[in-house]
Formats: sequence, C-alpha cells, structure tokens
Amino acid sequence: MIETTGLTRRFGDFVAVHNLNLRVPKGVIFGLLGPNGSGKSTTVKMLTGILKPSAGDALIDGSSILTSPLEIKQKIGVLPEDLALFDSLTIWEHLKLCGPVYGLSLSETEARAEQLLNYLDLWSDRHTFIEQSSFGMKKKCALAMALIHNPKVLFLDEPFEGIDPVASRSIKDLLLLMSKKGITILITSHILEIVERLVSAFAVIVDGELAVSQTMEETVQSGRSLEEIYFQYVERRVVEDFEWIG
Amino acid sequence: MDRIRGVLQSQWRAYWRRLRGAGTLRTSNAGPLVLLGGLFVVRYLQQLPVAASQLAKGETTRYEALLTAVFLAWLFPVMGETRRSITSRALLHLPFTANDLFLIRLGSAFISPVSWIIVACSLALCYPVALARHPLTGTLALLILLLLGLFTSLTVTHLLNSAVARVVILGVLLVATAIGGLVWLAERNEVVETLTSVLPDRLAAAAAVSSAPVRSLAVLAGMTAVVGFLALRTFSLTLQPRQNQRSQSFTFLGLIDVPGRYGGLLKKDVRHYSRLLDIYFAVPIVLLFNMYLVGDTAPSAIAFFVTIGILFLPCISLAFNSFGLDRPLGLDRYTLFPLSDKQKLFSKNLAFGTIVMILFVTILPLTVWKLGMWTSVLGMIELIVVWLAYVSYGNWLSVREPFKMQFYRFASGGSPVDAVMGVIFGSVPVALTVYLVYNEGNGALWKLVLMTVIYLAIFLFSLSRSARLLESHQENIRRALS
Repeated sequence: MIETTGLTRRFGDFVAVHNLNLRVPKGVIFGLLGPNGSGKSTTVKMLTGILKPSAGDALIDGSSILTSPLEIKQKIGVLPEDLALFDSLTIWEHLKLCGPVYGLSLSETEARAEQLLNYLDLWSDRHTFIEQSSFGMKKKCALAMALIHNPKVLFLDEPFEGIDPVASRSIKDLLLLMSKKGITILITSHILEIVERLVSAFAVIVDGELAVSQTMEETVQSGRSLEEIYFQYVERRVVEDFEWIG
Repeated sequence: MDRIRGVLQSQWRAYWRRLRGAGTLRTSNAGPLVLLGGLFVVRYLQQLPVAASQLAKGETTRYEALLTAVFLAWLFPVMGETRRSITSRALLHLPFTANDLFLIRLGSAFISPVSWIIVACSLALCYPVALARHPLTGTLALLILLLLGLFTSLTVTHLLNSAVARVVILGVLLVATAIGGLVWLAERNEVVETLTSVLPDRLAAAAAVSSAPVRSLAVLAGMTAVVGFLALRTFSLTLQPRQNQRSQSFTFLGLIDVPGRYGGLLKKDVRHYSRLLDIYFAVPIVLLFNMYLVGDTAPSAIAFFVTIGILFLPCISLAFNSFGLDRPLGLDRYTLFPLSDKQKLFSKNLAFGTIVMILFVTILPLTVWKLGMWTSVLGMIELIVVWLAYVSYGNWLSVREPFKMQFYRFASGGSPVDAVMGVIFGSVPVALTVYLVYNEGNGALWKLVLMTVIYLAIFLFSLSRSARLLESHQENIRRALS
C-alpha cells in the first residue's frame, strides 16, 4: 500500500532523509520511529505531498507521489505535525470546510462530523475557534479532518502527543478498528509503550537513514521489546550531575 | 532598563536578519520602492519653505496639510506593523511589569527604517515653525502632535483586538462620515469650521500663529494625555490571556452554508479578508455615495460607474496578495487538500469577488431606485469585468510577490509600483465603461458584454499561468508569510 524507493530529501547541504526504502502492506498499522530530527516528519511530509522529494519516489495505493499527487491526496488522510489548522475558524467550520473539498455533500459531512466529534469528545466544543482551543482539542480536530472522507491510507504524525489518556485510548481503539477494515495507517510517535501495543510493524530512522524495519511478530520472536530495539540504534545520554541545580 | 534594552536589541536583530534574508533591492521591487519613497521625501521637503513663508505671514494652510500628512504617517509604524518578532504577550512569563512591556511596545515601533524616515520628516517641520509668530509653543505643539499620532495608533491598534471595540470604531467611522456628508451636502461652512477647529493639526498650527497659543497648546496636551492614558490602559487589557475568552462563538458567517467544493474555503477567506483594515475605507465611500443618491434630485450614472471603480481601490491588497492573510500552517492545509493550484487561486478570487460584491450590494437598492434597473445591470457587468481585470493581474502578483498581512492591520509591505500598475490595469474597464455609456448610452450593452468576454479570456490565461507558477513558488510564499 505504501512503498518508498530511494526516497531522499535535501535542504541545501543537509540531508534530512537519505535513500529510504520502506514497504507497508495494506491494513497494517506501521510505526515510524526515531529521535527528534531523525527525518520522520520529513518523510511523512514527502509522502503526503507537503514536500517534494529531492530524489526517489513513493507509491501510495499504486499512485506515485511524483506523478499523481492530487489522486493521492484524495485517497489519504493526514494528521500533520503542526496540525495545519486555520486560527480564524471554529472546529465545526474546519470539518465543514474539509468534507466538501474531498467531494462529500454538506449533509454527509455534517453527519460524519457529528459522529467523529462525539467520539472524540469535542461535540460540546465544536463552535470554539481554533485559536482559543487547547492543544489537545486542536489535535483531535485535525484528526477528525483526517478521517472525515474515509481515507484508504492514514498518516498520523505524533497522534498521541498532548492528548489526555481517555482520548488517547479512544483514538487507539479507532485506529485498530480502521486497520481491521483494511485501512493502512502510518504513525510516527515517541511514546514507545503505545506504539508497541498498537503497531504490527515498525521502522526506526536515525539521521535520515533507515536503521531497522521489522514486524512486531519478528520482535516478539527475537525475545526483545520494541524499546530495547529502539535504544540499540538510538544513543541514550547518561544523566549528568548539574551541580547548580537544587 | 537593561532588560528592556535586551528585548529591543533582540527585536532589532530579528528584524534586520529577516530584512537581509529578503534579498537584494530587486526583490519585491524594493529598488523602485526606495526610489519612490525618496522622491516623496524630496517633494515633502520642498514644501517646507512654502509652509515656512506662509507661517511667517500667519497663514497655516500648507503647514496644516503637512501636519495632517505627518499625523497620518505616524499611524503607519504601528497600524501597518507585521514584522514584530516578539509580541508583548510572548513576554508575559518574564519578570516585566505592564509599564515595561508598554515601553518595549513603544520602542519596537521605531525599529523599522520607515519609522526613522517618518521621525526625520516630522522633525523637519521645526524649520517652518521657527519662523512663526510663536516658535516655542509651535514647536512644543508639534512634538505633542507627533506623540498624539503615536498614541492614537497604539490605542486604535489595541482596541482592534476587541470585537466590541471594532464594532464601536466602525460605528464611529460611519457616524462621522454621515455627519461629514450631511454638512457637505448642506454646504454649512461655519459648522465645518467649528468642527475642524479642534482637530489636532488645527490646534498645533494655532499654537504657532494664533493670538492665544497657550490655550491651543493646553487643549492639544490634554488630548494627548487622554489618548496616552488610553494607549497604556488598552495595552494592559490586550495582555490578558485570550484563553479566558474560550466560548461557543456565534458568527454571522457561521449561519451561512456556502454550497460546493469551495464553500468552506470561500467562507474562510471572506472571514480573513474582512479582517484587513484597508477594506473599511470603502465603507465611507459606500455611505457617501448612498447619501449622494438620496440627496441629489438627478444623480449621475457616470458617478455610479466611477464609484464602482473606486470601490475596488481599498480592496486591492486582497486581489494582489491573496495569500497574505494565510499563515504557513494554513498553506500546509491547502497543500494537503486534493485541490489543483488553479482551484486554490480561483477560490481566493471568489472570496475577493464576494467582498466587492457585498460592498456593491449596499449601493444597489438606491441605484435601482434612483438610476433605474438598466443602469444597475450595466453597473453589474462593469463590476464583473473590473473584478476579472483585478484578479487577472492579482493572481500573477500574489504568486510572484507575496507579503505578510495581519488581521486588523493595514496591508503594508507590497510594492507600490506593482500596486499602481495593477490599479491602472484594473481601472481600464472602468474608463471604457464610462466612455461607452457616456457616448452610446444603452447601446453600450453589447460592447460591455464583448469586453467581459475579452477580460474572461485574459483571466483564464492568467489563472493558468499563475497556477503553474504557484507550485514552484510555494516555498517563497511560505517564507514571505512566516
């Protein structure tokens, strides 16, 4: 469903993502892991059409990100890292803006929006402007926007960051349901415990390069946890004694 | 004081770093802008000897005109400000008092070189005042007037952060325009004289030449003290965190469902566009034209066609810089949507058209009543052609030369050369309509329809070319808006 070939992105001399080759089958929840600045979000941005790759290509549901960007955008749902919301609109207006852009009728949009907002516990806050919303509310609004048109592939950049435990659980359940229904989900996250319980395959990127990619089944068979594998590739700092603290 | 200086230094560094990042004098027509600005300053300086000789004789006409220009210019550094890197609210967690933050706010207004030019030009007025009958009170009044200009701009800018205050300001603008219009229609010169005698420029001029200069100075100083207090007070209010205002917001736009794929985007852009102060210059125009229609027994159809052209002028920034009120995050959302670049531009064009149409609709009922249905239909055709002309030019400019605009501020930062070229291009259909209707009357219809077809072709060509450019200029636009 998602297949990248030699995907690379340079910013001047800096290589953010280098020669990334990934394969995510249909209906899989795939975790893209890595430390800050490792290239996860850049990868998601390339796959979702926000950034053009400097080299390489990716196929999403058989369509190339280079030659069929509009076709892909119609098929995917995205929760971007920075949420990409409009401060001057309310949560409800965001969803009503979004549905018709993807070809939904206004009544269908409203029906789906109501269902999603109720599930995400946002219904009573639906007329709140985004600029007055908490980070969690904004994130749930962006998530609802990603889901409203029933995408075939879902890209979620840090979906659990800044979300309360109840909403986090609801989102997790929803993602599992979607996965069962054949929707492919790629998530990036720093919360390894949640990822470990959610994903069926994962990859770790370090300094823009693929360090490891394997299924959870392989991980279990190897007798190690996802966290152990993660720290095998990502260096951890030993806490120093800051004598001026305290 | 060191802490305040530290923040101002950071503002200064951020401003110049960003300005340097903008590129050379060729970028955004900065070269012609500097040249035009220089010519304007030279022209202004040429007026000083004239004002000086008049003041020496006790005449104040030229001096008052210069004072008005300077007063209005002092509104600009704050009300047109879009590049303040550190906002006052972002400093709230640091150990600053409200007064400290106000000083930082005042100091920040003088970081841009445009403000230095305004200060220099303002102080140059000391030369004509030196030759006046009361140079001391005249100079003091001049300095107080400059302070009043700065405080006024700060107060208005702060008030514009409040929805209630915005409605009040708009109401005051409408009432003042209506009174002005009534006085003008009634030709009551003595009333105009009385009303304008308390205007700051008149008071400052009176302090230099009148027989009671101290009284004028005292009134002006009192006015400045009141506005200064308001500036500080309103500033303190703007520091309150907005989080307390979270509410189930009611908006008129929220009640309207615009059908179609662009419906939501259109609503979003109309809301954004209605927050640019420039377009409110059109409100007095609309009001005065309506008063003219009611007051005149035989209003001119030509005036109607010219007014349509004038209605576009305060809105040109919306056509010429259609992404200016978006933020980089908003652009990201546009990128995520399955919309072609042509569709993105077209949705912006529709929003601009909606704003102009709202203005037009407010003069339409009286136009139908006083000028007849036929003239109104011709006016509608003219409106469409002028809209096509503006967006044809504007799409190209929006992609090539974007600049950041802010809600409840005036648009600033665009190239006046591009704006003038665009206004000339957009005014051609106005001139043609006036010419055709004047010479051919109702027979002009078919020629107007033909003109519409020609401009439609130009628009489609421009849309297609600009959309092609949009993809490659996406990153430039994002940078310009950040």
